[in-house]
Amino acid sequence: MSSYGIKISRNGIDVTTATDEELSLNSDSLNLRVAQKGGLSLNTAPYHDPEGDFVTYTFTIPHNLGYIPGFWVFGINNDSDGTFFKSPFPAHGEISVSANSDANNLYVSLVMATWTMTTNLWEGYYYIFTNEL
Amino acid sequence: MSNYGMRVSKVGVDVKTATEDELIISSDFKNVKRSVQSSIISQLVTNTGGNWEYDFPHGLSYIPTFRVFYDLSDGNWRDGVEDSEFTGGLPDVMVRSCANSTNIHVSVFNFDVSDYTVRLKVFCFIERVK
Repeated sequence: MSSYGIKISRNGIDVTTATDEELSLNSDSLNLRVAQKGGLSLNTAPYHDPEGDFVTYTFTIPHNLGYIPGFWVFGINNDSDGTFFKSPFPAHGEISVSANSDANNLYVSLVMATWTMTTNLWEGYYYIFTNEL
Repeated sequence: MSNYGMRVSKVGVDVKTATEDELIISSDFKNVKRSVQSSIISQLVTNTGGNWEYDFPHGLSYIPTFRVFYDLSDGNWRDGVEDSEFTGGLPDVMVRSCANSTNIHVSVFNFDVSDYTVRLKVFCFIERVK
C-alpha cells in the first residue's frame, strides 16, 4: 500500500486495520470509471418472415479513447417483459447480442432470427469505461 | 470541472492543476459502485437438459447493472454466457442472466453429458441499466 491517499472504512471498523472488503472507499483501488454511457434502440421494418433467415444489425458507438476500453452492454430479448439481459446472450430467444470494441468504437451486434420475431423493436444500454482492457 | 468536491493527486503532483490521469481519486469520477452481492450458492444441475433458475432480490426499485460469475466446481470462475453451440467450448453448460426492477435472474442449462454442481455469485451495482 502506498503511504498517501484516502481510506474510509465502514461504520464501526477501524480504518487502520480494515481489509479491502471492509473499506467503502480506498484510493489504492482501481475502480471502474464510466467514460460514457447511453441507450440503443432499433425500430426497423418488420423482420418477421416465416421463411426468413438471420438478420444482423450492428450499432457503432464512437468513444475515441485511443485504446480498447472495458464495456458492459445490456439489452432486451425481444420479449418486452421488462427484463434486461447481460451481453453476450445467445439465441435462445429471438435475438443474440454481442459486443466488441476497438480503440475508437464500441460495436454492438444483434443477430435476429426473423422466423421467430414478434416485434421489430429492440432496446439496449451500454457503459464504456475509462479502464483499458 | 465542478468547483466543489474532493480530489487527491499522485505524490508530487499539484492537485489544483493535475490532469485526470494524475489524480488518484476525484469526486468528479463516475465510478461503478457495488450495491449488494450474493453469497456463493450452488446446486447440482443434471446432464442432458438439467435446468436451475435462481432469483437474487437486489432491493432496488429500478433495473440495475450486474455481473454473474459461475464455476462448475473446478475452481475456474467464468463470466457467463458459455454455450458450446456458440463458443465451441466444453463443457456444454450455459449460464444466462437478466434483471428487472426486483430480481437478478440466472438461468443455468446443462446440455452436457455429465452432471455439474454449479456455483453462482451475483454482483449488483448502483448504476442502473435503465
